[in-house]
Amino acid sequence: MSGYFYRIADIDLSSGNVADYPIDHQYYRDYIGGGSLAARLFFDLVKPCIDPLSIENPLFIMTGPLVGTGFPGSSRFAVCAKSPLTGIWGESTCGGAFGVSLRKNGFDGIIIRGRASQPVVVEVFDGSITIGDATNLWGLDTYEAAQQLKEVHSDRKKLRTLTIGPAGEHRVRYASICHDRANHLGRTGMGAIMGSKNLKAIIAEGTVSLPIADEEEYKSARKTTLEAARESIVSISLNQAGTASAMEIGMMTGDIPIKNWRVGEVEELGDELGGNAIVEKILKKRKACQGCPIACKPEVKVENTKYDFGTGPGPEYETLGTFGSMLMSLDLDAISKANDLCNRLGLDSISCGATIAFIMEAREKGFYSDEQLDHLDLTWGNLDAVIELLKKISYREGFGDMAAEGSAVLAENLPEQAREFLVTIKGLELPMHDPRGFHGMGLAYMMSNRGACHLQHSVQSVEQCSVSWPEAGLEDEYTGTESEGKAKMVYISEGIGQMANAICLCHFAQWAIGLENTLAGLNAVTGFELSLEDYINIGHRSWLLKRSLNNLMGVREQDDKLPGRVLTPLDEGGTGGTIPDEALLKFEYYQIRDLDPSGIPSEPALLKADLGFLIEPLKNMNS
Amino acid sequence: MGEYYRDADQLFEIYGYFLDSVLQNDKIGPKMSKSGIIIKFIYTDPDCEITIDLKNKPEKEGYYGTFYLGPCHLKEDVWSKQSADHSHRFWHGLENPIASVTRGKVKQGGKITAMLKLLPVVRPTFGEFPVILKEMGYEDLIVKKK
Repeated sequence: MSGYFYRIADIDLSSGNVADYPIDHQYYRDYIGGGSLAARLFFDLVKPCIDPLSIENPLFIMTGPLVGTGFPGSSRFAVCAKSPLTGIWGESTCGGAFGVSLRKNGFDGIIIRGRASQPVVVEVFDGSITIGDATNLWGLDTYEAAQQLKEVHSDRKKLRTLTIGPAGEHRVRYASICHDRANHLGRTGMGAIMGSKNLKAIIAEGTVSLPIADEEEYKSARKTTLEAARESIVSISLNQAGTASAMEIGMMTGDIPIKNWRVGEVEELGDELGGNAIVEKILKKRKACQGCPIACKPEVKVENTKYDFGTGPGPEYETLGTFGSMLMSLDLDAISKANDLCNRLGLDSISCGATIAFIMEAREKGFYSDEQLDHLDLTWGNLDAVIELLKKISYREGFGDMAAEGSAVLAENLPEQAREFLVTIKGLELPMHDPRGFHGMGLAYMMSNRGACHLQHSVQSVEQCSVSWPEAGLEDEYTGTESEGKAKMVYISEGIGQMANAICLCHFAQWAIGLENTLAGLNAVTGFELSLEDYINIGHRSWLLKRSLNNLMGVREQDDKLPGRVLTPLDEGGTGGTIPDEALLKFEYYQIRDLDPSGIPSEPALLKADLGFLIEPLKNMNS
Repeated sequence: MGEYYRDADQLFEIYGYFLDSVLQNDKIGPKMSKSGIIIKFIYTDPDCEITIDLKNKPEKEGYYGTFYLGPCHLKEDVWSKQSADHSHRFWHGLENPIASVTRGKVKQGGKITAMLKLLPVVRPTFGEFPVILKEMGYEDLIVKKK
């Protein structure tokens, strides 16, 4: 085997010890890397019932075999732990170049355990790891901390940083981790885990050559893949208008949630917040993750307004949704400012914006008084009040302390009726794709192992027809507003999406280059000689492992459900009059996935996926 | 020849009538005009082209843009090539625009994302197209949803 260093660093912040974790080499073949490999290590090392913010919850930072090879879209990495937001499996992935730097130190990943007695920074340089003092960084925002680290290590020109901001320090349950300003590990609160460990930052720079099984084969696969990526309409659209291009299309199809998921259409939305609006109003240039030919990231400039923040990373589609359409704001400058603050304070802009949408509706319906909201005028469209709230959340000041717990906890503390407009699954706020327009996405949200998610699978691209992968057993075209037969599509798409996450490959890149090219690259680097069927089956193994971990953490059939708000049809817009058939979708899916009525994988399903070691723990979990 | 149009004259007759209506529509027209682009639609079976100018001042009073049936002197910002049958179904709201492009049923060039602006704008016309066919006595060309 190649493609790996077979080295996972094991760092104990409590004792200060750094060692190599004795990983079973077969795990690489069985789980590949990323969140998939992290889930296996989690099973081996962690008792599922732990408190996510306790010292028993390790943080896994994992790469994949293509990371650093220059294969298009393969510079990503994953950060995983039990989530402080959801209490189940937590996983977040990110682009940029940190994963590459970690690999170039000869590590496939690192495990960080325990808790430091004072703020620390983990430094990964020249193949070794040290733990340094970060007392002087505590209290700084993510950008400031990264800048100071770059100044201290100014001799290291390719230094990559992961930093948390005040939100992570104050253990906001949806705190993010920032990687060099433009890249963020947003979902499931991994920044709070870093904060709970007194871990302010992780930095890396390295120069080690990467192991590739077949250099010639790899060069050929990379060349073909680069050509495919450049020619793809997905790449062209993303390069021209970024992820925001989905705003215009979403306005036509009804994909975009508006006003906490209760309005079907705002005619100006595409014009004001779409990809073209970004280009015309605030875009300065496009940036790319390391080695990516697509270059979809917007660098924007907002100045000479009260929302002035100069030049910096601009809002992506999801943030345009959560701070734009969801809060009824069409002010691109204000949304960009909110995005900038989320970046600096270290907040997941999806959970944060969605939580604020919940608060606005709760206020409108009389569940909160002005006094309870610290007299912030949290009315629809008022982003000035939102910007104030972001700071309060990050420092857990006043009402911000409650809001820092996320919308599900807020709803629990309000009368029962407030749950009617709570839009979470397994505690995670839904991303900005409306399952009323795409019923398969509804099922995928229900069954996603980190809570409602659009990136634990490839359903978005398959169901919206951005890709066509008949070689994987998928239909050529799907109709979004149909439920029947979607379970098979979701099942296959989960296998594909889980593999993208295991490889640490960008989903957009996989859409652009296709499955055969991805497989060719993976086989050339690892020498695994996987067929497409093997490839998807490893993805299924990953899904089943994470599901089983969630079962061990208490997830059951009743948790696989859509929130009532998205089962309420809208009168207008692209999704008008239609809702997913939740019961049918779930029934068909449970059969295909072979889950028992309580939502636990059957023994045959586990044995088929070579996960027999899970049978006894799952049997014994209630005894 | 395709399924719906017997020749380019028939296509021009129908699309001319349709565009006359759309470009004078006070709700849709201003939004189309806001895109500020020149689009050339190239059709096959029958082979012909239509250019819509949403950039320059409309030639006719009361219109929000100008359209040209057949070749014209304007240089387009974006072009879109498809079969006349595909276009016919698109204007009924029966074609997924993403699938159309990714499956190669529609080829595009130029400032592709500028076209995106128009997608949400033209969606309301999907209901109008069959109505117009009926008005013109082409009820037999109305495509029913399966």
